[in-house]
Amino acid sequence: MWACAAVLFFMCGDMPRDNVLDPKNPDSLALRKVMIEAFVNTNNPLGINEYALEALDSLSLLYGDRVMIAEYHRNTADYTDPLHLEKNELMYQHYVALFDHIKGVPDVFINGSGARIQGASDVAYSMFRLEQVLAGEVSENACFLIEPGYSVSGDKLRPEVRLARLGSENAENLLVRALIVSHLNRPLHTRVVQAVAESNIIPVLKHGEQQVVVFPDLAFDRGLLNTLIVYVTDAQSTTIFQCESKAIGAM
Amino acid sequence: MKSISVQIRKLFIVAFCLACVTGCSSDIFKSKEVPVITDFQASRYEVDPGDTVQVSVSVKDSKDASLQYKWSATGGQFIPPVNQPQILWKAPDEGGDYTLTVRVSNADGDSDPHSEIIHVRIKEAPEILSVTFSAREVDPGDTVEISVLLRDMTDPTLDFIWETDGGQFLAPFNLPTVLWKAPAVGGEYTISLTVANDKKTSDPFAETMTVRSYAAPFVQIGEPAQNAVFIQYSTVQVAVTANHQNGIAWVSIYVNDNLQSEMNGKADEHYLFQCELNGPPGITDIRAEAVARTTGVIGSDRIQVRVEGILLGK
Repeated sequence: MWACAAVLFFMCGDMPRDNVLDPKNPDSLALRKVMIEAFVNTNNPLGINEYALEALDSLSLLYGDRVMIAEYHRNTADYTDPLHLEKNELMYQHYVALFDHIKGVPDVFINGSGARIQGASDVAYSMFRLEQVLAGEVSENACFLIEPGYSVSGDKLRPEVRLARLGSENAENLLVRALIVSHLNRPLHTRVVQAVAESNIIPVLKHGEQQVVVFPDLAFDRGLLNTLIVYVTDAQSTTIFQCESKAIGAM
Repeated sequence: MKSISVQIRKLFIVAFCLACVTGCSSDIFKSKEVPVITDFQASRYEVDPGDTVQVSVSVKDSKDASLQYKWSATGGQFIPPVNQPQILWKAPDEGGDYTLTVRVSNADGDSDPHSEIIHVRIKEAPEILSVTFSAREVDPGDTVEISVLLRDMTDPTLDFIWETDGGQFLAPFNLPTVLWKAPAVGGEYTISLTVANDKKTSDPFAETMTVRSYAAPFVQIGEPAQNAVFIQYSTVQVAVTANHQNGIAWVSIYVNDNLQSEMNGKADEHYLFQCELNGPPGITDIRAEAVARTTGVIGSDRIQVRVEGILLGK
């Protein structure tokens, strides 16, 4: 089961109000960032997952911080992956159930179930398929603003995320998920999911309101380059509305 | 005196009796004599529908008076004049037994009726027993001799009606054996025949002639589209349209030159296959191949799709 966050703080923010990012501005909105979740297995001789990962690397260079990429490793029928996490598997089963394709990696989901790009045959074509989807997604706006933060205590990291509802409508039944992804100092293993936590359901987030979500402590490897990725989704974890990342400083 | 009286009484009785006998012989006891038919004959007793038969009657008539002939029949018709001892009767179109009856009358009355039965044969429609072709598969422009065998070939009224939806019959046409010249375009052509006599028409006969076409079958993969993307190990539906003038013997689907599935030809030109894309990832060739009946000429269509490889999950 997911490790659940517990503590929610309601705060009245002091963010500037003269721009579109001011939650109190009914016309406020933010650029939507695209969450890419790639389920892969790299412990096999076939190389097809590497095609997808290499394409994602290229994509990251192309789109910069407009896209957040998380690499979930999982076991397959024939190959175990030492980076496999039980939580990754639960996440994968959840996504696959939303589609009718067969299970198999690489399997890339964009903004939750917004799009699925399964399989790969070469880097260029994987890139082409990903870009076809991203071209539409990156031009969207979002009505959420996320400010990831964290506190560190030893080898534990506690994500503390400020979530603001923009625009003029309230949002209901939200879920915030926090991931620690690590650069493993190996090619194509630059954003491997190491830990996952999710909040309790947020019943209502009124427009113009901010909320700080504090997650439970997550273990992390201080010797790696780590990044905290946070995204907000619906309670069924179907659609990702907005995402953001923050590098975890070297310790 | 008494004896004279007796004598007179006897004379009176005799005279009375003589008077009675004389009177009866001219009025009360005079006999009537009607004609008696002594012979009744038809020229034929078994005829075809519409045939004419001569019928005659012979009569004995002691009075030699003028006679009336009253003819009647259960079918057909008499040809006037009918008040004759010898008349003509025309048989009806329907076969069966018909009774002809005659009564002859004079002033004393009618004779006893006399009847004869005449059988009108039922004329059957011509029956086609077989039709033979000198060849059943020919090249364009070839000539084929076609002959029909009927149960009764002797009927002089037979009419042979040959028809075709391609090619042509070479004159003369109205014969049991004809020549048919195949058209210039290959295909399946129908030869049909009906045979009629003066009354009825046979059941129609029809057979197909194959004219070989050496053109390649038309083959087109309608689905999936060129460059469509599929996930490895998934099943893809391949829709193929295939046709040929001589029909299709079978249609095959190859994925990367490996035979995946085959289907026999059918009248409907649409074929649906399910192919499993179990080959390696990348550009994948899907080829549909159709073989023409008769000539075995092959036609094909080919598309490329992309198969995106996966490691199967669990």
